[in-house]
Order: sequence, then C-alpha cells, then structure tokens
Amino acid sequence: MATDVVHAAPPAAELSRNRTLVVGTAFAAVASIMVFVGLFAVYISVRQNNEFLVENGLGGSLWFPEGAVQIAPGTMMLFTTWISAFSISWAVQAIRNDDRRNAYAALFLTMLMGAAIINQMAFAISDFGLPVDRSTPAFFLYTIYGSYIVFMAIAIAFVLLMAIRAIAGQFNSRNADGVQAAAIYWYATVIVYMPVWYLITITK
Amino acid sequence: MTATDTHIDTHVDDHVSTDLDPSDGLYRLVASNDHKMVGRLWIGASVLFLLAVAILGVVSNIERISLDGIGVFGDVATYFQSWALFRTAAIFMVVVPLFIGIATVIVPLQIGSASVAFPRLAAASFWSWFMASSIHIASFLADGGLGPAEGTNDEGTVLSIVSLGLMIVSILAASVCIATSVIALRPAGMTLVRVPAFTWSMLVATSVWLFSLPVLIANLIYAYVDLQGREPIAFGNPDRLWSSIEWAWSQPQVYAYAIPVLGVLADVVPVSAKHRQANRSVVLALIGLFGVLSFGAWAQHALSRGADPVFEGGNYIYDEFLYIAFGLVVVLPVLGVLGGVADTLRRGSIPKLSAAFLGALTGVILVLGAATAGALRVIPLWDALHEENQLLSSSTAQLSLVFAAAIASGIGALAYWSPKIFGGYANEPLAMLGVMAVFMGGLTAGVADMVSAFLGQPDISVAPVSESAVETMNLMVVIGLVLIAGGALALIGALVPAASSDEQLPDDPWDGHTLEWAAPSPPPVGNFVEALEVVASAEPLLDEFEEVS
Repeated sequence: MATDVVHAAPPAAELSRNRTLVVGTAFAAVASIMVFVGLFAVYISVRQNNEFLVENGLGGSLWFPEGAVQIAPGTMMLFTTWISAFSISWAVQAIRNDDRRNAYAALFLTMLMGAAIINQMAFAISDFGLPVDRSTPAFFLYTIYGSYIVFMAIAIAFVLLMAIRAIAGQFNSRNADGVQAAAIYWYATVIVYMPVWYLITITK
Repeated sequence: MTATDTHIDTHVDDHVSTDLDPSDGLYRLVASNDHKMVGRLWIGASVLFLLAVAILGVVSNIERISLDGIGVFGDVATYFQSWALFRTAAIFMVVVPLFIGIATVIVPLQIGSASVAFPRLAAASFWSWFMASSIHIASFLADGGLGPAEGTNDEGTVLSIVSLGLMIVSILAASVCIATSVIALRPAGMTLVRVPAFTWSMLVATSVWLFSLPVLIANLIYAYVDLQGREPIAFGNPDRLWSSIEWAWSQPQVYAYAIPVLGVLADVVPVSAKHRQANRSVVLALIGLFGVLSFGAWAQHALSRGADPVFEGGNYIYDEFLYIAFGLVVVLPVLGVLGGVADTLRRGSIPKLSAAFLGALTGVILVLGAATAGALRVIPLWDALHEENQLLSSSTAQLSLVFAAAIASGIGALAYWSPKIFGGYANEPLAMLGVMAVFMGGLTAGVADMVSAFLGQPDISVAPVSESAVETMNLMVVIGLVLIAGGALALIGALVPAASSDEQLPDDPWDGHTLEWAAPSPPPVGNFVEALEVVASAEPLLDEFEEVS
C-alpha cells in the first residue's frame, strides 16, 4: 500500500536585490569622512608648526586662550552623537522586524539628536567668544565646526528623506536598504565627531 | 522619485515628466537619464574642452619661449591665471570627465547591467559639472583664478574656488555611480576577478578619486573660509593658494587620473591578439597596486611644513622617505601591465594596427614616461632637481605626459567602443592620426619640460633670465601642445561619422571577449535584448565562441 507522503514546499528563495543604495552611500560616506581627514591633517600640521615656533622662540602663540574652550559642551555633543548612533541602529532593527511604529520613533529621535548636536555646536561657537580675526586657531575652529554642521545637516536631510519614504510604505523586513543607507551615513557623522572632540575639546 | 532610488530605469520616458516632446533631440539631451546619453554628454563636453585646453596650453607656453619678460599676456598675473586654468581644466574638465563619460556608457554594458547605478544622479552630476566648469572659466575671465594676489580680486578668486569645488563634487558623484555599478550590479557568476579590465580599472580609479579628491575639497574649504570678511591668513591668500592645492597636479596624485589607461590597454590587447589575457588576475592586481601608489593626498606641503613658510622644523615633502619610495615603486606596476599584455601578444596572433590598439598602447607608454620622470625626480642623486623651479618644470612634464596619455588612450577607447557609444564606426585613419599626434605631442612636451627641469628652468615671474637652451625646450613644448591640439581636431573629425551613422552594425564587430559585445550596437534602452546567462569566466563571449567552434 502506497503511503501518502506530503512534501512541504521548499522555503522561498531569498530575493536577489542589488543593494545599490547601501553601496553608494558607503562610498559617499567614505568621501565625506575624507573631507574631514583633510581638514584634520592640515589642522594638526599647522598646530605642530605653532608648537615648534613657540618652543624655539621663533614666534607662534598659545593655541586657544585659557578658558576659551570648555570641556562640557564638546563632551555633551560626543555623548549625543553616541546616543544617536544607538537610535539609528534601533531604526534599522525595527524596520527589519517590520515594527514600523518603533522605526518611526527611532528615526524621529535620530533627527532630534542631530538637531540637538547642531544646537549645541551653535551654543559652543557663541560660548567660545573667539573673534573671527587673524587668529589661526579661531579660523580652524570655526571652519571645522562649520563643516561639521553642514555634514550633520546633510545626514539629517538623508534620514528625513528615508523617514518620509518609510512613512509612505517603503522599506520592510525584506528591504530595509534606505534606512540602512541612512544609518551608514549617520555613523560617518558619529565617527567624524570623535576626532573633532579630541582635537578641539581635549587637546585644546 | 529621488536620486537615491535603487531601481534601474529601463524606460526613460516613464520617469521624466516634462512638456517636451519625447522624440525631440533636446528632450533626449537634457532630460534623459539613460546612461548612454549621459556618457555621450560627458564625452562630448570633455572633447570640446580638450580643444580649448590644448589651445590655452599653446598660448600660455608661447609666453615661455622668450624668458625676457612678459610679452603675450601683458602681465604676470594674467599669465599665471592661464597657467593655473590650464592645469585645473586639463585634469578636471578633460581627463577625468573623458574617462567618466566612457565608463558611464561602457561599465554597465561590461557588467551586463541595464543601466548605471543611480541614473538620475549620473545625469545630475554631468549637468552640475558642466555648469561648474563654465563658471570656473568665467571666474578666470573676471580676474579671479587661483592667484596671485596682485591682478586678481577676492570675489573672482572665491568664484574660482567654489566652482572648482563643485566640479570635484560632481566628479565624485559620478564616481559613486560608476563604483556602485561595479560593486552592486554585476550579474550572477561575475566575481570581481572576472570583471573586464577596463571596469576593474574604473573601480580602482573611482575609489582612489573618492579617497583623495575630498582632501582637495578640504583644502578648498580652508581657502574659501580664509577669504571671507577679512585679510586671509594663509590658505586663501592668493599668493599661497596654489601651493596648498598643487599636490593634486603633482606626483603621486597625478597618476590617479591615468589609472583607466591601464584598463583600456588590458581590454583592447587580448581582443586585438585574439587570445585570453595571460595571468589576468596578476594584471588586475598590478592595476590595483598602481591605484594604491597614486593616492597622493598625503603629499602636500601643508602636511610637512604647516601653512607657515618660516617653519623649518619638518621635512620638505620631497625629502620624505615615503615620497621617494612611492616615486620609485610606481614604475613597477606600469611595467608589469605592459609585460602582461606583451605576453598576451606573444601568445596570440599579430594584431591589426588599429586606432584602438595604438591608442591603448601609446597611452600606457606615456604613463610609463610620466612614472619614469617621477622616479628621476625623487632619486636623491638628482638633488639638483629639488630647486623649486626645477620641481615645477618636472611636475609640468609629468602633467603633460599624463594628459597626453589619457587623450591617446581615450581616442583608442572611443574608436574601440564607438559601435556601443555612438552606434557607428569612428573614422579609423583620422583616429589613428589623432593618436599619433597626441602621442608625439605628449612625448615632445613631456621630454622637453623634463630637460628644462635639468637645465634649471627659470620661473618667468621671478627670474626673467635668457637661457637659450631652455627657450628651445619651451619652443618644443609649444610644438608638442600644437600636436595635441591637432590630435583633438582629428578626434572630433573621427567621431563625427560615428555619431551620425545610420548603418546597421553587428553586435560584435571585433570578436570581443566581454559582455558589452553581446548587446546590440548601439544598445537599446535596457541594453540587452536577451537575458544573460550565468557568467562562468572573465571572457564569456570567447567561451561561447570556443564552444560553438
């Protein structure tokens, strides 16, 4: 007597997708990081130059005046970038789990953190009280902070765009590319801030 | 729809909303995001700029024939502006855009893709680059430029800086499209080792550009900010502006613009010799090594001496061990690639002398010339070459050689891929004439500038002394640049019949090895009529041919 064998259907094959947005964003993030590498490299070099001049009595000056750069605002910004790294990771995980409410909340929180960082930077800039004159340290400080504000603004715009697309129904557990791409770019802002913090806030 | 959309457009007209007639030429030109049209735009604009740049080079070098002061330009500032414009335009309006254009058409075809990644971004990058290039030229006409302080105004200089920055951002956006295509749009079975050599070289080149050119943007940011609202401290000072960015036109960075030249040769020679590339993975690795060695963002004066000219605490960049090592080692991968293709030629049949073959070969010979000039420059024995004027002259020699290498190779590539790019054959005799003119011109200008460097080429603005040998060399440079301008004219003449041809071409007129030759000539929207099979080797069409025969 023949036995009826019930064959289960094979699991659905993984959808083959071209992850262009993720790859493209990774390239863009690297290029953005390299802009800051260029800014930092010149900053460090000129600062070393200044130290050499001071040490050898050839000129130069104290880099930042005593008390001009406070440790608290810069460190607060560092913690805020770290928190935002968690919140954007939360968004990616939520969208991968088809948990849209959490994804929206996490994306909103990330943008809020970004806005907070820009706000803190604006506060720090006004708090420095360094005139934009022929002072080399002030020139570097404002250029690096200003560039970072632009970088952060681009990252916020990217997250906002992906949030709108998520709210419109795009992205789910099978395709979270847009949110992942926004996260990659956001991580770049977090990575870049660490040397900003070290070079400006810590080494002053 | 945004530039971040991931899906590939195969029906251009569905995605672009406009009142223009879709069959209208202007519509197709302006609104299309088909990678072939975008690539043609890059190529067309860069060829036109090539002609203008070659003429500018001739005029500005006529000034140098006589070292007894300024004759043609009237004053030193105007001469320097044309000198700087020649450099920015040669690289960022001609060499890099030409390869981006060829790659935007050919890379998706070589990897069996329906389009380039981010087609809208690719189109946007062309138009923003074109606008920025036009503004850049206009800024020089408005007494802007990149120095010197006397003879330029700050507003014009700011415009030059911003437009140069925008050109680079546009080039980087196009680079993202190409690099992403290679990484993410390859078909089943095509591993990175199996991608065609030109595609590989473009992946290497765009990666190096994406790592190095943002550093140039950082330099430009400092210069821009420094020019705002008060006397500049250092970076924006027009007298020192060029020295903070000149690394992008000097070795090793100057080689980064010639990376695709190696890829063109490694693609054209096996097809010409009707033989598989021997030791293919080694050739790809050598192209990669050349790319790594051409990363030059670290070789800038500001990083070794700071921004202050009185700083003597650090080493001069040209005395750094790394700089000398890179300068010497960079010759090896070029020699290796030449050896690799020579081996293929030895194993295969004698190739027909064509513009493609000649262009590809002479291009790499010129790159080898540039690398050799660089090696001579860094050998400690030639300490005499370390004087500022001599360094400038040897840098110019390398730039001339790289410029000519890219043009010769570009002509070869355009002749080779013209059925895919334009849907017709390029005029072969004119293309060959163009290649030879550019090769001879580049060699003449490059060698003459290098000899001038050994002779102690005086700086026209600083030491107007008469030196007949140097003047003779400078006359040869002019002759070389006239030849390059003639080559540009021949190139335009060669491409006109290709672009206007209605002839029905075979898919694979050269018995090609790689996937682009499986597409119709010219390829339709979506590129491939039939679905591609799983790729099992680096030469899928050659496999198929061998199976059938």
